Amino acid sequence: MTGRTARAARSAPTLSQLVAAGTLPEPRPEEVARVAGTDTLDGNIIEGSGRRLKEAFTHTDPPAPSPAEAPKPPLGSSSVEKPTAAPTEVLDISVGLIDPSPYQPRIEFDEEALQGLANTLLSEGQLQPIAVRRKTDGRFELVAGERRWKAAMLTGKETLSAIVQVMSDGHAAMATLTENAAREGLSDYEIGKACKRLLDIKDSTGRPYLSSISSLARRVGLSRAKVDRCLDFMKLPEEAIAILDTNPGIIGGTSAELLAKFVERGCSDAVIKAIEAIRDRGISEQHALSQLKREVTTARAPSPRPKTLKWHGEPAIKARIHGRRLLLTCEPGVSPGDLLERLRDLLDADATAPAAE
Amino acid sequence: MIVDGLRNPEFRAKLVLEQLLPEVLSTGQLRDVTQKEPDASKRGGLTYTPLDIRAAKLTLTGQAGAKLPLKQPILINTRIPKGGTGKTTITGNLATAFAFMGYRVLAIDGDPQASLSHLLGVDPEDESGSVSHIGALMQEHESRREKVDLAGAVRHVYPGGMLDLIPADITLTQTDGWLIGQLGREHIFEQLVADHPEFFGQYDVVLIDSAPGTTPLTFNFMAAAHALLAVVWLDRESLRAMNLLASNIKEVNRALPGKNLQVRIVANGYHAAYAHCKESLGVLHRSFSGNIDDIVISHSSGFVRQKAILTAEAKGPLVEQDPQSFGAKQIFELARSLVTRYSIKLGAVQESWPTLAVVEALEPA
Repeated sequence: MTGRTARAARSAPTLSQLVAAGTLPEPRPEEVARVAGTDTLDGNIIEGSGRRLKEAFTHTDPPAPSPAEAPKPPLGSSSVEKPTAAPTEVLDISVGLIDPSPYQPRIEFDEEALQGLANTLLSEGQLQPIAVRRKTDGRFELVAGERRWKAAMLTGKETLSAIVQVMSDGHAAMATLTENAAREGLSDYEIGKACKRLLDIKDSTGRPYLSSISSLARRVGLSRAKVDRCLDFMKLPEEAIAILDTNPGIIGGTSAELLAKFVERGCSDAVIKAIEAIRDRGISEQHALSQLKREVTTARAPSPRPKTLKWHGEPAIKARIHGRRLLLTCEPGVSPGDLLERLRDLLDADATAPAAE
Repeated sequence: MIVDGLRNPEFRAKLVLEQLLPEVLSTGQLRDVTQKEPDASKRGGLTYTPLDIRAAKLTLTGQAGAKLPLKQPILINTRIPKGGTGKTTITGNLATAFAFMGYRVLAIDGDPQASLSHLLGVDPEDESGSVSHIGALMQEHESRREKVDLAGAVRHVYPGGMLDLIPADITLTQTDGWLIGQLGREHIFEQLVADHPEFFGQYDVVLIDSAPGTTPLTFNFMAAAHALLAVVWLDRESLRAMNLLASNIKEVNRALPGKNLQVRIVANGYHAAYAHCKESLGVLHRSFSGNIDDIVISHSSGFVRQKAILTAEAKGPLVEQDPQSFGAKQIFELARSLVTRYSIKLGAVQESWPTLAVVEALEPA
């Protein structure tokens, strides 16, 4: 079994994928005319059940189990919505009431392609509803369809057809990322940024929504190795992140992995220079990385002499700084465990003191 | 006391974690939440049953131990006026999939051919005397104007009410003749459901398989259903059948004020090598986009095998026989899509499956 989860990985192409891939031939107009159209089939789920059934069951419909009484769900998160939450419905929603998803990983929106999509919207109409979820203030938040929404605004179209779903934050974030990751064009940096955001989501009890990076990888349908590489972007220094925010495709995941290791060794400046070089001089990632390696080995400053610290009046600890690491070596007779305890006490004392930051 | 069933399927943690749970759990967590002890007599580790999954989900959603209140179950009628599209196969497999996912399912066989009954392993001819099919129950209720013994008519396919069936037999054909003479003939099934909330309210979802023909009985099911599942086999014939279905629906909506019947088309029998599959799917997509489920069921050998295996030792639908098969996985995807689309609740709780069903529009070439 590979790293991909069987659930997120499609077992066969979906209709949307077949359509997007251009596999389905364009039907002849006379064929379409012979088949009754969608206008005869549209229905509203809320009205779909008979009046008698509604009446028969209304007095037996319960309020949800009160959250105070119910034991806290120990694991994971189902969305425990009260039965009064709206069932899934397809609505025409005013474009102005829709907000973008905070979980949208895509940074770049190709203007030209958007314009093309806008033209398609005008000529063909909207072929697939977008997906949104309700917000508490009566507005809607995008789950999938940001490009269509943007294109709709370009055309001045006032409403969009949308499937309104009930979704927890975690699931909305998951859906948005999974949709985008499944299509090409999402850079490793965008994936990494979105994965980091997903890992930071906590449910209402404060527990992380995703228990581990492996579970994230499974849910999203990417290999653990790929997710690790994409997450390595987040280890890069701020200046690098700033460059990536404007040029998300500038370096790939494999390069990020290597660069993150260099940052680990304290070479942040060199890393930033390398990325700037790629951006400004257009050199390839390979080139920049080999240059960086050369610089780092030749310019490698000799490790600063370890400082000796005294404890209880005796020389006890040799301390050395190496990049982001503080290396403490205990002299014979000094217990590292004792030292750690003492450090912990000192740091705790700092925590209770008024915070400096 | 848990009601016994014809079969009690068992499956391993792998299936549960991949297909049946929206949460991401480890095998240890799954074991803890179901409180299962390994059975020393069985090799190879823990197995789970549909009841276990239900119990686990009730625990995870804080409903365990609470008496679940009665609720109006979602009624889905599989309906297309053309035989051989795979209606019964999809209905039976969906019923099994929902049960595996922990939902309590009532399947109603509305076809005198009794294909659904056979698929679920209930052979009406084994019964001495005729089966109490849905038509008989409707007739009894309507003439006696008092509650009928629905529980007695039910066959428990899985224990604990996870999958119950009201079977059919050939005498169901007589119901149409009787219905013609009745006043308010389209509402009799709906009235039966409305008058027995304590029976129907135990289930999370009710799946009704209709015969292909357009009859008073099929109108009854349509009138009561929340949604129709139109299973379309990807060839020219089925497209013509969609026309007939569309006119049925127009009739229903016209005849029943306030009723807006919703249809979900499920494309079946897709094979990438066949041009006619792609053409038919293209026409469907063009004509009905917005009403077609994104899951396209493949022409899978598993479903063919399933029919061949229905012998005296009938072991049930493909999802039950081989839940890890290609075809079964597609059925699970369809089941999850329906749970989301029709707000099918497990108890009082709506499960939230990460939906992969909605994708952006065609990008311009």
